[in-house]
Amino acid sequence: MSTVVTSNISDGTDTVGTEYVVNGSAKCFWRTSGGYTGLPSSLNVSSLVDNGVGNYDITTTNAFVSSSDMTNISGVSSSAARIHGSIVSSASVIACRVFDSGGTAANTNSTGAIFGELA
Amino acid sequence: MSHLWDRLNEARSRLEPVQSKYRVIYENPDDMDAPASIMCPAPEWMAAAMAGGILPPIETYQRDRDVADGQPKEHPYAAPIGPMTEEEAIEYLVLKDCPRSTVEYKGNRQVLKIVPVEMIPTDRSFRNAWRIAQ
Repeated sequence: MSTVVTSNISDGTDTVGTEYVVNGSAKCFWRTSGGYTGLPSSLNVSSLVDNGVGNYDITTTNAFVSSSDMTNISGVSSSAARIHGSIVSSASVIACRVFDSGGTAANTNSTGAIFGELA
Repeated sequence: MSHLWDRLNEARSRLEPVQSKYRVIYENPDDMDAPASIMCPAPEWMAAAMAGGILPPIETYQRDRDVADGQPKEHPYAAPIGPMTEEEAIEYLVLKDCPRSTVEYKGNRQVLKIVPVEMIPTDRSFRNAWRIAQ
């Protein structure tokens, strides 16, 4: 794999510093399947742990510098589930919870991405 | 030595994901009322483990568990280890991702099992009542 080293990226009109592109990309993402029994797609994830209904953990391969600097974005792949929350429990573990519209825990496939500085 | 993140990205572009035929079932002795947890290895991680030259030694993760949040960690900068078999990769993952209280449990209850994926029920009714059969 070759590496392009440059300080700026431009489309001919707008120019942005490369550090915004590098630091602005997700450092971890995942998509679950079959409730929480599979991971069809992931980056920087070592495992998914199914802890029960609407409750799973994601563990990263490369930890982040600090749990307080991790920004997480998450979603669900069903209109029946209304809430997907992910809580950073440490610099390498993200605890995820999924609920339906009534506030009951639900086994709905979900996605997530984490931004931040890696260790 | 390249950073672990760079090696993971390079591996993801080169290696086909490997769906493991194993799952790890465990209970946490610190929370015995909780249902059993089922660990599923990430296919991209499994491919990296079996290819070799990407993941750091497990000891670096174990030492980093004691590093305070925000302090420098060892595992991203450690020299990578060689290829593992699927079984060795699962053992590595147990040591890396299972709770320490489970791995170090000395009681007479079985709190961890490595099982074929077919043994995990597909019917998730009563999922919160799942326990490891003793």
